[in-house]
Amino acid sequence: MIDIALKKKRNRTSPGPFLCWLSTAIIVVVCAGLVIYPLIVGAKAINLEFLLTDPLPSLKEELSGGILTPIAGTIIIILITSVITTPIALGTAIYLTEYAGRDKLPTRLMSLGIDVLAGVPSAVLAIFGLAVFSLPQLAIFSSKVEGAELSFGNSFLVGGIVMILHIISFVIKAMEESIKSVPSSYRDAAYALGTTRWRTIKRAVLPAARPGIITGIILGIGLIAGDTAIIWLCVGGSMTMTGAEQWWLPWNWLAVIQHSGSTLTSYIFYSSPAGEGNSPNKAFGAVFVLMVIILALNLIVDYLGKTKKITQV
Amino acid sequence: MENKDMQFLRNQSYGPAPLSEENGERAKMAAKTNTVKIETRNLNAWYGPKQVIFSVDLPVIENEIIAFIGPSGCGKSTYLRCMNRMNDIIKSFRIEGDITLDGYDIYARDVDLATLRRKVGMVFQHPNPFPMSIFDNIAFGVRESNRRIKKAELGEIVEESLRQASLWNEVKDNLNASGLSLSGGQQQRLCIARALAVKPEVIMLDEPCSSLDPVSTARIEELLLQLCEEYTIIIVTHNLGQARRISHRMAFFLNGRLIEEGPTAEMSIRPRCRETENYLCGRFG
Repeated sequence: MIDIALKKKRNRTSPGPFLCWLSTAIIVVVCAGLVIYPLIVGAKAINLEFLLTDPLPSLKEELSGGILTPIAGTIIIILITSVITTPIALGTAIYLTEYAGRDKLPTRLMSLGIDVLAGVPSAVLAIFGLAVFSLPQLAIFSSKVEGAELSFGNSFLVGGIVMILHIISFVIKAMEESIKSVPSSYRDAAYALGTTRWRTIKRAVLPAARPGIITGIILGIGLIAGDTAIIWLCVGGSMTMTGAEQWWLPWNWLAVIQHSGSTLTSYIFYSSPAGEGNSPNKAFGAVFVLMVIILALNLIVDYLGKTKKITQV
Repeated sequence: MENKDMQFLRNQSYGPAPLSEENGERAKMAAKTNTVKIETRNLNAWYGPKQVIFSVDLPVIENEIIAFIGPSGCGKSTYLRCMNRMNDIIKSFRIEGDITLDGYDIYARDVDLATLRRKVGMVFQHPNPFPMSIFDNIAFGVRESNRRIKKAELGEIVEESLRQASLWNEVKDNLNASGLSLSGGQQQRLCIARALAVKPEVIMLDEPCSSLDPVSTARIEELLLQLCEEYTIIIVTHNLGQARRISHRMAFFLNGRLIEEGPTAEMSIRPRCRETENYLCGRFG
């Protein structure tokens, strides 16, 4: 016979847990829709010809070619931005975590500056980049405009460099977190073996932080692949490579990056009803390819995250 | 049928030969030379405004095992870290007084910190092998002092250090395995091997067995008894039984002061100070 005091009281269910579940369900359904719908519609447009043909200037959807140039353009931008961003972000992250005094005013101001940069909309960065790279002295990054003291200001180089500003704060933060999470016992062990400060960082701390650093870079690549404002304003709205007809030949590559072209995001904008083209189905095809790329990047990040666990004691 | 671990524990012969015994080469050598290896004179230390070590005079004799004992927070670890200048890393740390190694002041301007830290090696409380292979862990310190060393020579040094640390037979078949894949006791022996690879003269251990099981502890104690024939060993320990088992001398710290030091057997039976007696009897700690 159960004691009265222990007997279950009448169920008074609170709405709290249900509301939490409902919020989650809404988000999951919306996200699933956002991912699944374009994939289904876009998959219809995917075929080998679509992936391996350059876009063609035509307002008729059937004649507007494929997305080979935008895919190449996305890869070009990713390469330019990540190759320059990685060493700068890494150097900054190492300086802020290992050398700068944590609570000193200059360090806090630097961190604040990086945080502020993270909050600047990419459209603002794009206009800033256009203004800077229109200066005639910087013609090497794009091309000189005949008959005016101006540079063209639109090219893969310009877009890549402005894109650095868009992602660098995020990458620095990710790298900083990774370096900070390396246990101080590794540093102690290295110092006790007679290693200098820099060699301790290089040989003990950075290898331990490598998975997190790579994660930061890959997530940055995801941001690069998905940005539209900087591409549209700084690379340009041209669907084909304006630098060289045969852009795949290595000796043309310098000309290619000094001139305009397209990426998957600018192609999507251009081909959608909002842009100048008229190929909404092909736009979804490009969405499909872009999502596959971003999904693949996230899977790699996930895999690296699992590898990281081995390094934790 | 007793398992191997219990048999191992039973077969231990505890305690080094006391210095007063006639037999044992080690006892004779230590008694004859009585050379001071590392010594502090009037050592005071501060973390910012707070003084943590008060006027400690303590010589450590060559080839002895000396145990620093005392309750938590009494300054033993801080004192230990002064001797290889690991406290230099902490910005608010300051010392006054002398610390000499073989008669040379370790805080002199022209002292090479890297060389000092190799000569006075340190093993920490929690095993901290690098997230690298066993081979690379041992080779880490060696590569620092000799960046052009050949792989074959490095391999010899790694093998020798692992043999000295009684770990070779357990890992020789797979030196490329991660150091973190070993058990706790094996990791700690790996850390000892890593310290031995750079040819130290003094080995300092800060509570090396506190996170290990009794079998691993016994293995490491046996190892230290073998190593003291070649090296001078300083061990900080909370475990009075361990101090009694393996040390020649003990030094009792309390609130940053050295209360008493002397031969282990003598101090255990007849401590001179009331605080030492109270600590050894477990009245506080």
